[in-house]
Amino acid sequence: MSKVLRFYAFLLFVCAFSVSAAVPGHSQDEMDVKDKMMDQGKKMMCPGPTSATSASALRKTLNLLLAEHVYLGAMATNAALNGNQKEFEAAAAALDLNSQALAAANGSVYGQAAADAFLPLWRKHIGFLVDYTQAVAAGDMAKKQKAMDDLNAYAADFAAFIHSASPSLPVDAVTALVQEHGKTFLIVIDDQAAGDDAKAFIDTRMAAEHMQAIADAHAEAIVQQFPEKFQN
Amino acid sequence: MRYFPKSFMISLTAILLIGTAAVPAVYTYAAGGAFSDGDAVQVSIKLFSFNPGVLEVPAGTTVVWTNGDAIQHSVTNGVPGTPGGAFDSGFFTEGQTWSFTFNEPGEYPYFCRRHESMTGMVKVVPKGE
Repeated sequence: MSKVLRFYAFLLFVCAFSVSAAVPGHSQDEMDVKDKMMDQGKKMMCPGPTSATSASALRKTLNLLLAEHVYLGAMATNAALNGNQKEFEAAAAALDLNSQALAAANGSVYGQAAADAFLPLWRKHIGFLVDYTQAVAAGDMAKKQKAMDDLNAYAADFAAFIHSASPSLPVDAVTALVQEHGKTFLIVIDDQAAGDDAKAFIDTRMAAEHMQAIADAHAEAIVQQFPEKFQN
Repeated sequence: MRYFPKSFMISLTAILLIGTAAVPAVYTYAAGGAFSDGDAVQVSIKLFSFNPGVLEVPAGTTVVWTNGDAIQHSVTNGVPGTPGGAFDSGFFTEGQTWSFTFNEPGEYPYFCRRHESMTGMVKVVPKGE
């Protein structure tokens, strides 16, 4: 067999392996072995740049979860404002799963104690958003103002947590970003309460896009802080 | 076994661990003879948690809390919603310390008034135990 034929035979083997690895029904041990062989194969066949780095995975995860936080939150508040209790409960449950996943993502970098501290802190601001939603629904201006004040104060607390975890992230900058998150989300609630669906969806997109500023900055700070975890 | 991506399994494991990691380890100063009268025991406040979360010390011990977070915390006796009244540091911020000497044996739960998910416990045992 010529060298060219041997090369194509090897290429075919790698491709077949790639396909079989994606098929369900394999044990984790089998997958670990295959993952290693796949990596070796990729290195041999595709030595060029790749987007599949642990740093990009972190950035993707934070972006995904923080955007999801906004979308699920908007679903929950919309259901609440429309009096759909079952839908609200389902959305709130999914939103809490998102909160837990965010805590786990933080824990994977900062440790379990940080994850344990993150979760109640994160849930707290969701509570303030619920307070605001209830106030809007009831036309209670005093409660609405208190929810806004609580959200503003909360931003400093959350920023302090993030700064403790990643000291390169300045408290003031994170505070401003989190306050902006609150503001963009309150606009969505106001739109929903006004029955302006078109504006509500546009503003939901804007609120979700704002989270990218938080996710990207956080991911960058983590990678700089723990270079040993992000070698590839 | 159905294949799940590694990242999913890691996330799932981390989520499950959150539910089981709430019980803090007890940090004991009373035993071993390395502790002498007048020593101050340090508790750090960092990442919105008290470390160690549970402390066991002999009566007469001074415990010093140091705030490592860029926000005000308090060390307030009792549980959230029901302050105990034995001590309350008031709010102190990053780099500042607050101390309290525990003369009476007993269990002293405490929390932060600003962040009620932050809780800790000082167990004071009689001297010589």
